[in-house]
Amino acid sequence: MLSSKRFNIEALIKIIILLGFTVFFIFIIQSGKIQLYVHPRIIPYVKFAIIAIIIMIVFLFKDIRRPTGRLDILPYLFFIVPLILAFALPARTIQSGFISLNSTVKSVQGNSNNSSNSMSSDQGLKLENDALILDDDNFVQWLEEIDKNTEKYIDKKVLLTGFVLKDSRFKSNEFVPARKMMSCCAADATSIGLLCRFDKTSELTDNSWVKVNGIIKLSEFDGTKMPVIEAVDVQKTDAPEQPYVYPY
Amino acid sequence: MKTKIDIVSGFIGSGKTTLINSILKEHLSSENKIVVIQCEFGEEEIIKEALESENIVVEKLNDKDISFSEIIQDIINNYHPGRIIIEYNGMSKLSDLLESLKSPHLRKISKTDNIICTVDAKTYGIFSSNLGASFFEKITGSGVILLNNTEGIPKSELESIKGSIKALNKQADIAFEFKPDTRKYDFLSSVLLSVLAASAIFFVISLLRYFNVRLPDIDTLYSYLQIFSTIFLSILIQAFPFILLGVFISSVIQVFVKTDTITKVFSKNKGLSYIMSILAGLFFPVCDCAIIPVSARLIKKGVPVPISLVFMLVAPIINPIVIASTLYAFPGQPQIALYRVLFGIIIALLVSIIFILSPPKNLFKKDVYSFVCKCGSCGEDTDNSGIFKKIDSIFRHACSEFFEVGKFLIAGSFFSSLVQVAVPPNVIASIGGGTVVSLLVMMAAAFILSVCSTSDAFIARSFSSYMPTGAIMGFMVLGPMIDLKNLLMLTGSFNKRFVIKLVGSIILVSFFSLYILNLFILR
Repeated sequence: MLSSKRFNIEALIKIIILLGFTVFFIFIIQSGKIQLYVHPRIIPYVKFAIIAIIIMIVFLFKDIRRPTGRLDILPYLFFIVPLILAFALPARTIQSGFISLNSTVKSVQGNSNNSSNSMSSDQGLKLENDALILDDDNFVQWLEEIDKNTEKYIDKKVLLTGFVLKDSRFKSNEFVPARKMMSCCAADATSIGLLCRFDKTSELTDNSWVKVNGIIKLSEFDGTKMPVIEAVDVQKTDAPEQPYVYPY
Repeated sequence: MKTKIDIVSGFIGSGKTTLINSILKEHLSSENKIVVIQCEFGEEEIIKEALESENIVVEKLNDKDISFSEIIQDIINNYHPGRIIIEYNGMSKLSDLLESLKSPHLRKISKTDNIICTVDAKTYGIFSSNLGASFFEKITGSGVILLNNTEGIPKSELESIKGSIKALNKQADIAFEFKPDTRKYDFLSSVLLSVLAASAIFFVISLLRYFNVRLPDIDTLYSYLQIFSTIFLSILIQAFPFILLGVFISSVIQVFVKTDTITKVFSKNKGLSYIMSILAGLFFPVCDCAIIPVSARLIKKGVPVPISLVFMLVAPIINPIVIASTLYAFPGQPQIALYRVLFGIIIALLVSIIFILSPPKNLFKKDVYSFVCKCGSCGEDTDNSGIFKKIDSIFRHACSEFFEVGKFLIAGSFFSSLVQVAVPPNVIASIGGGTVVSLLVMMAAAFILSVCSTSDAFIARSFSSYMPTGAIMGFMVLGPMIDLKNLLMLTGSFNKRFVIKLVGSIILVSFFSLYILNLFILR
């Protein structure tokens, strides 16, 4: 196929591909868009990758002067495809996909109210004026806490923001004001939230962002007892700054 | 550093020079000096680039009276080559050459490495009936038989030639001629291409079905593409650092650790080796895709296969981050994390027992070039003295391995992202059934979705509302061990047979172990 007596085309292609990824990584870290792809804890690893790739590029430059006999283009096409997608399509918050309704986990083992293993017991979740305020940083933790100690929070006010998630299993007045939880990368993003009962649910558009003001009650869904929000007020709102919430 | 001596024997026209040329092409700019000794001259000549290369020397022998051991001694003294390739005359006895190479003085400075015999398939029948012993002698003495000129020969005849060769020499590897220029279309590339093609078709069909075969409007199509791209790239962004770490560790092992050391360490205490291989995973908190290049390297370096397999299968599960994420995903149920690790270890040990009882004869791809590393500057015969040369070697090798392994990661992630976008999880819910069916469905989902082991606990949880715990355990135990991504990466390092055997064992052992777990413990 292609070959050149003067310089090594294969090394050149490798350098271009590696440069492409380096530029992409640097760009998404600088612009903050990396949060749309991966969990913040992964960012240091990506920085390590950038450094490792740059060192590899430096070593590849030495090879440019050494021609090889033949060139096989096919393997490198695999790397070109993600590069094209990376630069051509902007990232997008995932809203469809996996759904994990809180408390359904309880039904799995029968008895799970075992407070010996809790990740949020020392999270410092406090009620403010006798109301639960869920935000970007404590969403997952509050959900776990409400699940574990439901009795403590019955009849308490709750305030949260989420996108409207409707499912075929829900009645016409039920929806979940959900957030997408990411544990590693966008591929594992799961919708989580509490079931909410609101009489004007039919007027809510799927995936639109709402601010919910309600009261926590103990109720039933699909045969299992779980905490449910009785909505007092549901307002349209803007999408939050942070697209995902994190379990840790 | 002993000079390695390769012998390429075979009758005139059987393809010796062609083979030697192919080897030389990979080493044109190597750090290693190579000396080619030609005892026979046929139609093919050594390629120009090799003749012009600084580190390749070609010596032609005409005088058969000078003893071989003297010639080789001279060459080693003059050039200090890392490797000598002898193109041996078809009519001379191979055993004569091997005898002279065994002289005590030569044995101190050289080592016979590969003995290859090239055979022209079209003349095999004629030669074996007419030439008898002198023909067979080369076949019996060689480690690799390269069967050339096989185009147009019916499969049955090829099989009988293979059978005849096997009867003469049970141990030898039989390889078929490799046309470097058409390498684009080898097995691997076609597997990858078909995965991509199938994915594309699958995606289009799912889309059409979803929209009831109406033509979707451009906006929706575009947003689907965006979602796909985000998921696909997110897997790569998260996995690249770990792949880089994996190939880097693999290169360090390749350059710094000698095969002899490994053999000594692992033959001492078998029991201890197993415990070490299980616990080693605790120190490798990396994505399961990074484990494969490291394990492949360990096997190549001589770590016994069963032990390497235990490491490969247990490391992604015993990974502290994976354990932590399992505990987080199932709060108040630490037993799930416990069962996960426990069953991971049990299944890994059972699979390794299978490989102890039935050891694989050939692991690596049947590729005459497989003993030649593509990066051209590593290997135990390279003059790697000095720390700077070693570092140079590590990075070159890591770079070349990154490109080898990376394409499988990309193909696997591409397909699994496609499945995630095209198949809504509700579909999986509707398949739910009894214990066996849900277990199988979850195992299949784990295999196809190829989720990184550090995040599969949360995805497993999302299935928990309609799948029994036993099935979810199947998802969390099989996923880290083997999935589509890992399978593709394995085919890059090992041959078809071994990969099928390995994957098959893992799936069967997992299924039965988990079924038993379901019946007795998780009721």
